[in-house]
Amino acid sequence: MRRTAILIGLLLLPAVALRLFTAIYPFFNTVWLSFHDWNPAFPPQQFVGLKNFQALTRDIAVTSSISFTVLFVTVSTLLEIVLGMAIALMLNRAFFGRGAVRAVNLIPWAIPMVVAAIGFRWMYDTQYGVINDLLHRTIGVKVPWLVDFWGARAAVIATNVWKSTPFVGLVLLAALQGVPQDLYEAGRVDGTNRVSAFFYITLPLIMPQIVTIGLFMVVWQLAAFDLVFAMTGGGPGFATQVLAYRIYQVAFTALNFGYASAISMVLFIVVGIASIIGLLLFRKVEVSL
Amino acid sequence: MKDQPTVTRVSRRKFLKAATLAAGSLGIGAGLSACATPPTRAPQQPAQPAEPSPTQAPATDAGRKTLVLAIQGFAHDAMKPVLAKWEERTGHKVTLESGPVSGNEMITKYAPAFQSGVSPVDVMSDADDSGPTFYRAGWMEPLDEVIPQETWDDFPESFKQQIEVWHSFNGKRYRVPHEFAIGYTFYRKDWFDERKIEPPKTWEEVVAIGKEFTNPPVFGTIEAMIKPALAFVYMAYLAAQSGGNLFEFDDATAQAFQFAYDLIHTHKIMPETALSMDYTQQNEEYMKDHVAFMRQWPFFWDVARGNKNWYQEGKAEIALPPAGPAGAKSWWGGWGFSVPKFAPNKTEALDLIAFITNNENAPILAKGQSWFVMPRKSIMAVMGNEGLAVHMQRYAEANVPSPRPFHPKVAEAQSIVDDVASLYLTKQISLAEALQQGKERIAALG
Amino acid sequence: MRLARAVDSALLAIAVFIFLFIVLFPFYWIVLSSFTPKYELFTIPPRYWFSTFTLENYQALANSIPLVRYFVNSLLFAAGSSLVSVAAAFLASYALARIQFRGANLIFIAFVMSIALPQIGGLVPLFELFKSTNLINTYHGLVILMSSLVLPFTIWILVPFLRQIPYEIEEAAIMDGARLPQLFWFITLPIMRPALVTMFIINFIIAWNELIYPLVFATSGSNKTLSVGLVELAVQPTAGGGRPWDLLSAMSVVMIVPILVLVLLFQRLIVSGLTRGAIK
Repeated sequence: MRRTAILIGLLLLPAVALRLFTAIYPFFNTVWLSFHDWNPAFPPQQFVGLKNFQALTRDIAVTSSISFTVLFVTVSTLLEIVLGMAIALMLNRAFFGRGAVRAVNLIPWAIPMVVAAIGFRWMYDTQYGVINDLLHRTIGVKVPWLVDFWGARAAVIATNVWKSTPFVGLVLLAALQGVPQDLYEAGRVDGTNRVSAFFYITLPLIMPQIVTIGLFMVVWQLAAFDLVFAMTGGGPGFATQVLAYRIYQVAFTALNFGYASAISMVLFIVVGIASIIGLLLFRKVEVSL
Repeated sequence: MKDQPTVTRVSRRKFLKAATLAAGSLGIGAGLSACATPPTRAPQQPAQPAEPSPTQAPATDAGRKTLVLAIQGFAHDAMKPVLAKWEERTGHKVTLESGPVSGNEMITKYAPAFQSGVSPVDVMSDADDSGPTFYRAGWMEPLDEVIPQETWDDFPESFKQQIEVWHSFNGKRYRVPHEFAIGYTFYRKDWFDERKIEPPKTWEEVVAIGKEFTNPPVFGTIEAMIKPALAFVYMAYLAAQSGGNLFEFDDATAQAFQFAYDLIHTHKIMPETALSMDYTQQNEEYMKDHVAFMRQWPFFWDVARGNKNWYQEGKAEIALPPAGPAGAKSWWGGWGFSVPKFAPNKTEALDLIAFITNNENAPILAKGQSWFVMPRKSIMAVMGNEGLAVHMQRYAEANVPSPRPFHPKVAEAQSIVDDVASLYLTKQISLAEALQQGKERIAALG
Repeated sequence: MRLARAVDSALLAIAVFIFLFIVLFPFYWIVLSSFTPKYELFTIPPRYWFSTFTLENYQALANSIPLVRYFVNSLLFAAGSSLVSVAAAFLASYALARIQFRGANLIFIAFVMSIALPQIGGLVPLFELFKSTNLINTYHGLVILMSSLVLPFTIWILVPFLRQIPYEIEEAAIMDGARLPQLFWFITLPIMRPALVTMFIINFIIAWNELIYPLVFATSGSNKTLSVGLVELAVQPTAGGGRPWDLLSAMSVVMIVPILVLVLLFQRLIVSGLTRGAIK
């Protein structure tokens, strides 16, 4: 018994140590900092209680980024799952060149985010952009994507979905392949058609993976700022401002570490809420993780 | 009973594979750990600072140091001859390193290190939007005694205030300017000559002449204003001409905002899409013959002339800026050299910075790379009648350069201007709301 | 019936075609840009095929940053990080999937949820911690950071994968007196190979593109990565140079090609490695 405990400890040690060292310790440090006024350019560091949190309720740059953050992450994740599912179903069929198509699927994911962001900026360009050119050729309109409030939001979300969906598709493809074939055969005997087979057999079985990858995408995207940073800078106005980018700005252009930590806490609360919803969903779909 | 064969079968079949894998990963591991040791670990001298910096090469001869100088990659070639002279004189070595290209990345990259009391570099080229933060935090070395008076005297009178505000803190100087970035008015001399008109001298003329040229996709003028920072650049430019105190959002600043709005939405002589452009896109527009005149940083001089298929004499000439209510002004800023307080080889670094900025070497740098051209007397004496330097002198003589708007929390103040200008110019809020929001947020900075 | 099948294949073909177009077009456009002379990059209407084929962007790129060194650094950083993360995750998931103990599931959830701790918030305390442990500017320091970042996802994949492999083989080996290292080496590792290789590749790609950690923690030229090189080229907001699409597109091709090769080589394994219940 004791030896088992030691064994468990030893096996878990590297992973736990890594997380403690690089994620959990800095997190508690962030919590502590959020109650302090600390900007190395404006010393000294001092305890200010809830001042940072009061300040952020009045900070329009923070409050207006919360709504887009939630919108961005929710819409992106939903689209990624729906489109990822479609990709997975498609790549699960047998056809000539499937292996190559599966490999191609991962290309967007392998492109560095900064490059994708700047590349898409050019593609969205009103005059030179291929997107407007294609729109113009097919339906005869040109949209000033990044100047328009909703245009910019749509453009940022579309870029993000383009970049992240393939990975979701890959994970869901793997989930599909884990569904035992005999279930479908049983269904076929019962005369189930393909659509209802998907909804009554496939979907319930792979729901746990859908929920978990959804949760992962939510959390990852909440913390990502590089797309917005390189594509729109949060503009026009605050149309595409996200919390993570605001944290980056406050921490690394202003060195206002105390305040940045307070905004990090807001982000963390948003992530926490998302995680709890995810865990509740898990319970509902009732699966061993 | 079936178990026994399973195990042996696995082991037999997989053993070779496993062994290869193990050898491979051991190899990688060994490779990694070999690389992992910073070169300085071994010969750590007791006199050195406690933190070993991998940038210090093992001292072969006692007293010979290797310094690191960080500056944007494109300036490296121009630095080399000057550094070679210094190396010869002192016996030390200098390694060039590519530094970030913006103040924000300077802070992201170096603040954690400085905060921990280490510096990966000995001398660095530093931006306006990062420098003041660094010296306020006490991370830079004062240079007053290091840089000889004749170097300071080499800068024209108009630099005095800028150096006091942007290169100093608490009366001490921490940075020596090596770049003079001012917004120039580039214009299509060929087009203007054809119509026998002069480039706009006032805001009214900007509108009138702009209308004359505008015929989409051709526009009178253009200014890239995507976030972050570019809307700030233009608002600061217009506020310099209207006499506004930008960070106070006063009436003259309101005029500047209004003027930008009118150019786009009322007179329509600037395309609305400029609000989502960056400088590369703005330059492309100009070089697609879509723009009659525009404000742009000096780098466009070389960009235009480097576009061999397009460029012809007269396509990208420089005029004085148009005058607003407060005159023909344009704000300027730029990069400069600094020595971090925690520089591993501080004594040598201070000697090096004095050397590369002195009156003999500044012109050599300027000859090598237009980024180093400044209206310093020593530089103008050598190249005052070539290329961009002519216009630099012209701007200086016409008293165009106006100081960059300062705020102790400069990064935050700039981003407030950027935010409200972007909101207002994309019609999300009114001018009154923009000014109100700007004032409140500046006040909240304390 | 035959008609239905024909319609079905036609629909599938159309779907595949649309999919390939959406996925490949932006990539194609980046590649096209990287071989187009700087001053011909932007035209109205945009060009969809090579106008003048040139390598000058790549030459300019090689002149602006030490490409080979950054490439080697990226390779070591990404390979080291994925190796360490997969190894640590393997050990942990063995404990979590194979040894029945109270709280195993809780620990598992804690690992997975720990990705919620924001990376940017922790940079400054991390830097101080790294300074006091002499890890700044070292490969192992960077590897520790990066492998920790990808660890939760790796564990999330490995634990269920291991859980659905029948325990009998291992049990038999234990009965035969195999010690844990032998067991791992000869049985568990080989069975889990698809999942391990897959996670190695996925983590490799994530690390290859990681920007913030190398930017902040690799402060000296000797261990900067390609992604840091990207920052040295791009994104100059105020004064100066704009965002040089000629260099950036060439840079991204340099960064994508190795990944592409990796993905093409291991494509088959990648899917099966993520699959639960597909072990034969």
